[in-house]
Amino acid sequence: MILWALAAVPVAGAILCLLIRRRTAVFACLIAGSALEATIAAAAGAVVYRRGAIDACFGHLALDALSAFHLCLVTGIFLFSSIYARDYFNHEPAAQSLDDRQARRFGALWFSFLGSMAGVLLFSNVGLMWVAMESTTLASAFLICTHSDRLSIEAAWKYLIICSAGLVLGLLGTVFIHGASPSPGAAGEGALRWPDLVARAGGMNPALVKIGFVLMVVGYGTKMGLAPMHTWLPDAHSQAPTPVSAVFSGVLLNCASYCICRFLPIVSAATGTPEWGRRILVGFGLASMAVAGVFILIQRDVKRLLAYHSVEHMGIITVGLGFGPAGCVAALYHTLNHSVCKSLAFFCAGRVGQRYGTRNMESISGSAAACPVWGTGLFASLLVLIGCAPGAIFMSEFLIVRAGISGGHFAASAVFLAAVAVVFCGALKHAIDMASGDPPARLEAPRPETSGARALAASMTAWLILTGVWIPAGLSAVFERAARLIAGP
Amino acid sequence: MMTDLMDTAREIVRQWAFVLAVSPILPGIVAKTKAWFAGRRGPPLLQPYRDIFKLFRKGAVYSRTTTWLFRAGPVVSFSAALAATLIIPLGGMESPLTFQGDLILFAYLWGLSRFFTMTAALDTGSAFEGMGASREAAFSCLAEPALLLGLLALAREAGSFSMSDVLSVGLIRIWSIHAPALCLVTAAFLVVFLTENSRIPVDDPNTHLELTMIHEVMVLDHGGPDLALIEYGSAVKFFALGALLVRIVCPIRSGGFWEGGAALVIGLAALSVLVGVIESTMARLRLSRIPQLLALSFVLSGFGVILTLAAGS
Amino acid sequence: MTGEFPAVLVLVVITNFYILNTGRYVNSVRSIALQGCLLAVLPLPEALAGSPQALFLSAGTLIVKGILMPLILIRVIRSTDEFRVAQPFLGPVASVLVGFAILAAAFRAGALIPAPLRPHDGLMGAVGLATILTGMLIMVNRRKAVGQVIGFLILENGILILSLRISRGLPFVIEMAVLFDVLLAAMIFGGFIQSVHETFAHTDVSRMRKLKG
Repeated sequence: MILWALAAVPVAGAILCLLIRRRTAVFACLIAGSALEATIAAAAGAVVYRRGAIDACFGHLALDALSAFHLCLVTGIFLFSSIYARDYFNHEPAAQSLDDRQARRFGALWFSFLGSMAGVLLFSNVGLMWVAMESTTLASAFLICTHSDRLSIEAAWKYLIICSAGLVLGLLGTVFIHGASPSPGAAGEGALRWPDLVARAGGMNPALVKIGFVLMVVGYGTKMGLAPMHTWLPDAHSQAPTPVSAVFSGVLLNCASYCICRFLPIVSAATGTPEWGRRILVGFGLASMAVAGVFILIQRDVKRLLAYHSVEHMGIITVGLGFGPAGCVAALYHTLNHSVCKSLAFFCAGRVGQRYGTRNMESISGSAAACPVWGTGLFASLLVLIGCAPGAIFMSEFLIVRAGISGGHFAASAVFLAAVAVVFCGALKHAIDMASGDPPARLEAPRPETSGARALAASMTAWLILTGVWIPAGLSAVFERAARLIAGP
Repeated sequence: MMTDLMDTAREIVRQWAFVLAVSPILPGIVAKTKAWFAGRRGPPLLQPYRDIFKLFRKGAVYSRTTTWLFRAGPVVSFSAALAATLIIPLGGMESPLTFQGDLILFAYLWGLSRFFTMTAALDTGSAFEGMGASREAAFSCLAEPALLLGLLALAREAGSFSMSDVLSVGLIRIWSIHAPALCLVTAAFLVVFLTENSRIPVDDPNTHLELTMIHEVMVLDHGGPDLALIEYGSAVKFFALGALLVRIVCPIRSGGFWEGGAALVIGLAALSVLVGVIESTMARLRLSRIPQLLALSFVLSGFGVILTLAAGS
Repeated sequence: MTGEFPAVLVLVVITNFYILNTGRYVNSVRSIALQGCLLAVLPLPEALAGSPQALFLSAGTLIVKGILMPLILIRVIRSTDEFRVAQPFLGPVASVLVGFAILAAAFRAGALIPAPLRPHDGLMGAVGLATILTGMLIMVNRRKAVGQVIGFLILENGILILSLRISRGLPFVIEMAVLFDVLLAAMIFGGFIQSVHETFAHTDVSRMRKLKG
């Protein structure tokens, strides 16, 4: 019942948005809808936490600890982004601001995007999960080019074509894993349900599962932004309107990593050893971190900088997943931290960019003084993002390295630390340059921020620092349970 | 021993006599079909015989710049075509000349004939003929692999590299097992057939526009008996390659030489009508398109080979 | 479920080569339509054996891949006036020859896919693999947006064939959902190409290279 409600809210929201007349009402509808969805998701999460996995529709829809965690994260970030979206579009220059028709379209696509991501998490059938993942691409492509100018259309086209082609390989991987079962036809309609797949994994043909998993990592990895399939990501993130970038970076990439997680237990059961799958993940993860590190050093555009940070952090999460059970716990923790921190960073960067009229970091200086809330927020979130000590990301990266070293992955841990260090130095310089100094004289006096915006920025920053020093016991229990689904007990 | 040789010699003579007697009628049939499509009465069926006879009676004019190569061209190409006909079994029986590997000889006799035609063309020192020779060389580069691969597919299925075995023994069996592969090879051979005989859509035997000519341009300077040999040689070539195609499409076995020969002639007449229809309904391809067509035919016979290999392994 | 139609698979390969060779997008789309119809034949033996689901799948494939998607693509081509194929790397002859190399490699690799064997199953796996790789070749070897979409659809067709080979088809619900998804994708691609055309006045995606680094 509760799962049906989760699926129904975005659909209803999308239809409602198309019916509403006025722009302001559309944004109110966005906030209300995503708040409703987040509440239901939280309730569902609580049920799962107390009573274990739930399912509906003959087991096609299901929610277990892993998907419940991701679902709460998705809906939460969506709620924040909806709140922020209203503020953001209100501050757009007149030429760029949305008219009623564009707002309706934006709202409908926004809800379809939310619905397809919820679908990824709710479908326990990995085939339908793929279908939902492909729908996220289709739903979000037009969100990137909300303002249809040349650059955003170029970015959206790249996103559409690269992600579609990549995801098709994910489908192929699903086909291979389906075909690896001893008698794929006999299992009937439920053949691809995740619990059944895991139960049958021991008898699967290891060679086919291996081919399938590599295709899967390449396919979903494209969507996740793993190097070398990441090329769409900086373009799409930098050209999309900022609320969309925040959702892309904050939760869309997580959904793709969730898909890869689902196949890890199958691979380790079929190959008889967890190490084979993990090695692949560590390889892709380290490659992404290294590539991102290089591009972060030479970056000029603040949103592209954040986009390459996403590549880096997706690499970190992937490495964490490859470091065994302790690494998985840390990777999930890192997923949460990265989502909160990155969406905060995009929120701030978007508004600072609006204030300065540019996203070129060389033209942004003294942002802490010029727009106190967002400039300070940008500085703080960048510091947390690169792993400064009291922040949550420092903690999760530390846990990942610890898992790596205690698991004997010394070389991988060394590369990991080197890449993190490079990113730290490169991004710290950017952060300081943007925050300090005098604001350029041409900026007019700042408009006062709404209290909602202040509260959003302050609460997210506080959360990041708080969870860096203290993880609530309930939260760590959530991570433990979810990690057990990925890496086994 | 002696009687064997005598028998073979008699067979060879019989086959040559048959080929030489029959082949000129085929261009006649093509011309008649085209005329019918165009609503004309057209030349009589036996016109090619008259042309050749007329040309043989004439004298030849040779330019002072030419050497013996120029005279060798028509002779060699005619003899090569005639030699190739010996490899083809006419009925359901063995051909006069048969050994393992005669498939390859069959393919390269055309190469030999082409080489001498091109040298003869280059020997005149005319820019036009040189252009024709270069085009011929470029296109045959693509047509020859198609022919060879197709023959390879057939040989692989028949388990023998001898044309007599391939075309007489196993074809019916092959059709029942490897119909798709054989269809591919047939299609490829049709393209090769049209290319080798300079037919539309690759080349136009009737064109008088030098810029689009390929084969015809190379024989512009020949006259008299030389031209007669060339015309006769191309008719024989039409016969030989056509016979290969006809045998593949309808691999009927018949008892004796004459029955088999008669069946083959009927098949070849049908093929000539088909060529006439193609020439009447299709336009000549642009020169830059021809490599595409030939590459496709290469791919078709290559795919045929792959299919037979895949089924075998 | 399949494998009784080697001729269908051979024709699929021939359409691939035709698309690699052709110089006009309308011809490519026609071959795509033909390919869709051929794919619809593949589940038929199972349908005749009394499986209504396979019949639905076949009908769905015919409608979506044989009719609707080609219509969408034709409309896009008409409205953007992009009729001629422009190829940045390989010309028609070279791409046909590369396609042949791909085909040979796919047959070599298709024989290696371990799965219970039936007559012509090797053919099916190899044809599926070759179609996937050909689709990729077309995607990277086309300048215009339409050409890339055509490559994507061929890639998808290849996966359908391979899925029939490897796993006797995915469960029915999923096949239908994938079909629907691909149709949706074709529609979105179509709409997108039109907005690219409106904004850039051309659809040559290889000239869209403002975003770097």
